[in-house]
Amino acid sequence: MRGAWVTVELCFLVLLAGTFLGLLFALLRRINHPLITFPVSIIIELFRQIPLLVVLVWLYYVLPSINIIMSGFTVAFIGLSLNLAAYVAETIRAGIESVPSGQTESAVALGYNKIMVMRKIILPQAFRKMLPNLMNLYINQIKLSSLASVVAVNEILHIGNIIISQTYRPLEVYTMVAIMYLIIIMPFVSISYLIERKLNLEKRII
Amino acid sequence: MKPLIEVINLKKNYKSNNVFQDINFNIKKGEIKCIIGSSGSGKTTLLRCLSLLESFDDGKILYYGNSEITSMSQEKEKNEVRKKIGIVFQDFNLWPHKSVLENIVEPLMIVNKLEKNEAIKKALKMLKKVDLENKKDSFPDFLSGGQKQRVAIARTLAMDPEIILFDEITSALDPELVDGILKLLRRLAFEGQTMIIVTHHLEFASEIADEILFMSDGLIIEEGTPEKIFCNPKDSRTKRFLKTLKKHFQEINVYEGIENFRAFNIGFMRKIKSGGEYYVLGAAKEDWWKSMGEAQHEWHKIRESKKIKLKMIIYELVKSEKEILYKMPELTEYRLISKDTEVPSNVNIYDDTILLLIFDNERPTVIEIRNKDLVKGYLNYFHILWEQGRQVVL
Repeated sequence: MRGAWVTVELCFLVLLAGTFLGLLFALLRRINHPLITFPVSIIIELFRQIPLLVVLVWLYYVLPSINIIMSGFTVAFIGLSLNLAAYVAETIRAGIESVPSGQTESAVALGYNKIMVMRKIILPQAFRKMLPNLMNLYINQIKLSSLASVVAVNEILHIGNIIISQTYRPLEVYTMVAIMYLIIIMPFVSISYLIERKLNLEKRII
Repeated sequence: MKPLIEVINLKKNYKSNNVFQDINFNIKKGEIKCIIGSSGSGKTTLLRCLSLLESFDDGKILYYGNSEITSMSQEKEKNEVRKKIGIVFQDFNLWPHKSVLENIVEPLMIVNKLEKNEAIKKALKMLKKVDLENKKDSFPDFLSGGQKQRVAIARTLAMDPEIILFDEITSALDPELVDGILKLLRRLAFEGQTMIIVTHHLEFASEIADEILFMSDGLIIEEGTPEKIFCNPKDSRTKRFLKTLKKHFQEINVYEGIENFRAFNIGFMRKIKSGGEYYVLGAAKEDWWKSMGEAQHEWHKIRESKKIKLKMIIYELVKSEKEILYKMPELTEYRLISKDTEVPSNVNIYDDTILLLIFDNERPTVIEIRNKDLVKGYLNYFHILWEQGRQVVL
């Protein structure tokens, strides 16, 4: 049970930070200035292209050699968050680009400034379009949180492994681990179905 | 009085192409200008530059006599100018995630900083003006094109713009919805709203505009009152444009009512070349004479003087036709055919025009169709019947 609590805690923090960072990255990338756009793009591409497992072990085992020592939980939090942020940023970018330019133009013509156009016109519309994708990303990230076991975070899988090494009963323990993930993820899946149904319903009426 | 907008030597390039150059004109308060021209002539881009949605490369625009915008102007200055210019787009650009009312209320609150109550009050007033109060809680996707465009106009009007730019606002609409929008524009014109209208409706333009600008290849070729442009165009490009439009739009015309019927028939007889051949296929009998009334004498006079030959296929010879035959046997040829083949209306064919005459005692009607292919078809049918017909000799 302690493991489940750590997983929930880790995932909650990761989803929060990942979404926030992702939005930040996506908006920063839209500012047409190479000094801002370039580093952000590099971060996004790095975390999209290097496997998460490699990122985690790198952060955990390489950074101490330059005297940056972090706990496993911190490493998992940073790795998972940045990885999620990279994908969220891409999803948000796609969502923003899917809003037709006429939408922006009519707002600008009426005298909206750039921030208001983004807040009132683009993001609300983009958000609807990217919600299903976003939910998938979240579900995936919760599952990926099991990778944190390799950096000795006491989450479900890691605790499970410890118990197995003491009791030698993998069948019961791993089944329990699977069920616990199911229980954590179930609400997300049902929420995503709900959202999808609602969006489809809207589309149908339209 | 200072002009509301003064455009000085405006120039825009797209990559290495000139979109337009050396554009100079101004518009005063209360004036209505229509911009016409074929697609690709730069009129829409010019409008977008005026609304500062698009940048230009050279020249300047002086707004309200005091705000000068050049290609170097900052976004902030432009935004101040934009608040007093309204633009209505071809594809409405309503915000689909907001209700009709919200679409109008939000800009009032964000840009004009109105209180919510005031904004709603004003928005409702505008919706009443465009006759859509009952749709205030609908979402744009539930509206027809015409209704969407009216909401878009209401949204622009609510901002109390000094001038409104209309960019082909009826082009995306079904034909039956266009009239409602044009009516609304007429009302705005009546109220003294300053407007620049890019349109393809020439008749509408000539009716509403104080001045018309004709654009071609990124230049203002001609500008002047509607009478000057439409009746007496100076430039050959203007003439050509008007001519192609006329061909395109007036393939079918309907002239209804006794006055129109007579005037058209006499006018048409005048248009026919001397010695021309005119084919008539039909069952008019006495209806033709009745409908033409007094005008028939004039019609015959023209026909005689021009020696226009009449070839007629009829089903029975009535008295008045016999009289003509006696009078001008060399001009008129009749063929009688059996009543079984009777065509329910009277079809006249000349050159590249078909006239369908419908004889209704109250409202005789001419339908004029100008289409070369249809004429060919009708003429073939005529000749087949002609061969079958029995010649009438007196």
